[in-house]
Amino acid sequence: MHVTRRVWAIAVLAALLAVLAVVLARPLLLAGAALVGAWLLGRQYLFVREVSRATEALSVAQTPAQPGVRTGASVPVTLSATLESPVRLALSLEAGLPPATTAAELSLRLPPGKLGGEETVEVGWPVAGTHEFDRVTLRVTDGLFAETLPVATAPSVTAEPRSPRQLHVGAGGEQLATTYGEHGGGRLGSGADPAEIREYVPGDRTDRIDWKATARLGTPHVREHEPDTDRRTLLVVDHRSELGAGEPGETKLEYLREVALSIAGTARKLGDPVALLTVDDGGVTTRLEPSTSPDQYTTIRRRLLDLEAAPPTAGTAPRNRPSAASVRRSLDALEGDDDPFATALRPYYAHHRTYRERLETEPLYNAVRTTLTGQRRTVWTVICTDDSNPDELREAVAVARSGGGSVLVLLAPTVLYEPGELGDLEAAYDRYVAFEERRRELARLPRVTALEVAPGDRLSTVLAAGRDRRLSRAGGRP
Amino acid sequence: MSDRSRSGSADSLLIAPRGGRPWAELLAASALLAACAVAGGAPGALAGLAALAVWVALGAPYAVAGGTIALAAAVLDGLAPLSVALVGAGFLAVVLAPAVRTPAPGRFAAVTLASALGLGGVAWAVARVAPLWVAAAALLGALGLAAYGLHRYELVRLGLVPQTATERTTEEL
Repeated sequence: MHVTRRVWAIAVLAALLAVLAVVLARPLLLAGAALVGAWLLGRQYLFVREVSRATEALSVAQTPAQPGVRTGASVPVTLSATLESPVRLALSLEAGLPPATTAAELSLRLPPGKLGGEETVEVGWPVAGTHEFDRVTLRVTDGLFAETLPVATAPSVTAEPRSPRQLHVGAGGEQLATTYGEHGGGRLGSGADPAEIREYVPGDRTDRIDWKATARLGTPHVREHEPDTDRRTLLVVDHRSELGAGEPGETKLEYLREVALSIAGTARKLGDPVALLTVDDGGVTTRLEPSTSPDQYTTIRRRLLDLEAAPPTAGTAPRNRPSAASVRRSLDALEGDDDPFATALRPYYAHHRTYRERLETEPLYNAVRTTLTGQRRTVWTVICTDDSNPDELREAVAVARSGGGSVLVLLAPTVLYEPGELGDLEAAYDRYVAFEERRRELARLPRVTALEVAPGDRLSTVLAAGRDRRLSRAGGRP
Repeated sequence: MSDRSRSGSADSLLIAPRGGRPWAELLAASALLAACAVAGGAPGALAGLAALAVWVALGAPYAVAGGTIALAAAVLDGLAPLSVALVGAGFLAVVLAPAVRTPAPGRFAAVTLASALGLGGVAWAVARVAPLWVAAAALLGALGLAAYGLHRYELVRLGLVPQTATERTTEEL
């Protein structure tokens, strides 16, 4: 219980009367002090009684609109109070918002006679974790005395960090069934893992005879083993500005990063030498030579985790430049044609070198070309990018295949990442179909695997829209 | 409407504003004036009027203080014990007058009356066997003790008493 200055003043008054009674030897003043003291005690008792009644009649709740939220988002929190019957006390309530939140003050005042009230504020949750509210603080006063006590329950809100969810890696909406990165040796030989049993032939080492199989089959048999092979892997990660499209924490780069980390982790497990190449709008930002040292894998992992999409550059023009194949086709069509139109156009298509020079300024193609040119050993190239630059990607894949190497292309379809793209599901489905055609075009190339990397929930939504459209066109027949 | 305009002083919110016919206050004022006149004659009546004026301006505790000081100054020879009791009863009526405007008039009046009799009784009993200053100290000590007791009672009733480390439930034992 807290006392106000008025109570202290009256208590001092009683003490003053007592002192005066002694100084002036007047017992009457002592009686006055007793009466002033009785006045104070009477009102103190009244306050205690009414505070107990008010707290019993009061219902208080602090309620967040939802128990879960993503970091950085806001959730409204409501503080409400109701009284079963009016009281003559002044009540003020203050919500127990968790410390790691951003919000204006959430408080409620109930003057004497008011039966209830409600206040709502938007509360921001910048920190991930489970945030426990404190109990609501109730302050009750009658002008002379005051009391502060906790009331109501303390809910909690869980803030989850923004990160890729329902990661889908597959083709045409079908999830990939196997783990990416694992590989077979392609031939039999010496190694640790047993493969198949065959009959003994002169020249085989006797320590390779499988005696159990020999006893079972009656003739000497030897067991072949999988050879220990390593696959040189080049991980190419595009972090140009287009890869920053998407909600914070759920951009194309974030999803591709998860897959790249998984591939690097598998390579580490298998002991495959891994190189890393990261590319932004200005060119190569990281170039790590292939190595199997533990430091290499750690460095690759750290570099992948630190990657951020380049900021958008002003005045970026859409990339609609023709590919070399389309230039050659156009030039062939113009050869031997003497009309003035063809004569005027021919010089523009004749300069392959001009086209090549333009292509060599494309960061991804240039990086892959300069890294793989002159490589003696075959390399498994993993390219993590999006569908913004299909022609450049096609040329980069062609370079990666040229030395006999194989290529895995991990493509993030822009339609499934841009905010608002799913507002028109039919248009989104059409764009996804166009993306799927380009992906299949890449996948048809020898030694090339092209997979989509997307949020599974958004992909399902788009595919469902396509199914519904096909059903409606078919008149509802499956 | 400010507290001062409601009751003449800043009193508790639990005391409802004075209505159209403050019969309790009028009765108390009459009793006080009569007691002061009987105990102190004309000077006593004047002191009573001064107390009533302070009551209207500042409230009951200041009226009690001002009235007793004025009466003590007006009656230079002092008052007999019976007169002190009579004047005390008059001022007690002033203190009890707002009881009808509280949420629990009976309990409020009973506690106030018991407090007045208790504190006065302690002072009187000690003054019979000890000097006046000891009686004054005993009165103030009793007042402090009673106020602290009400404070602890409130903590228990609202469940605000913190558990100490040595307290354990039966289940824990």
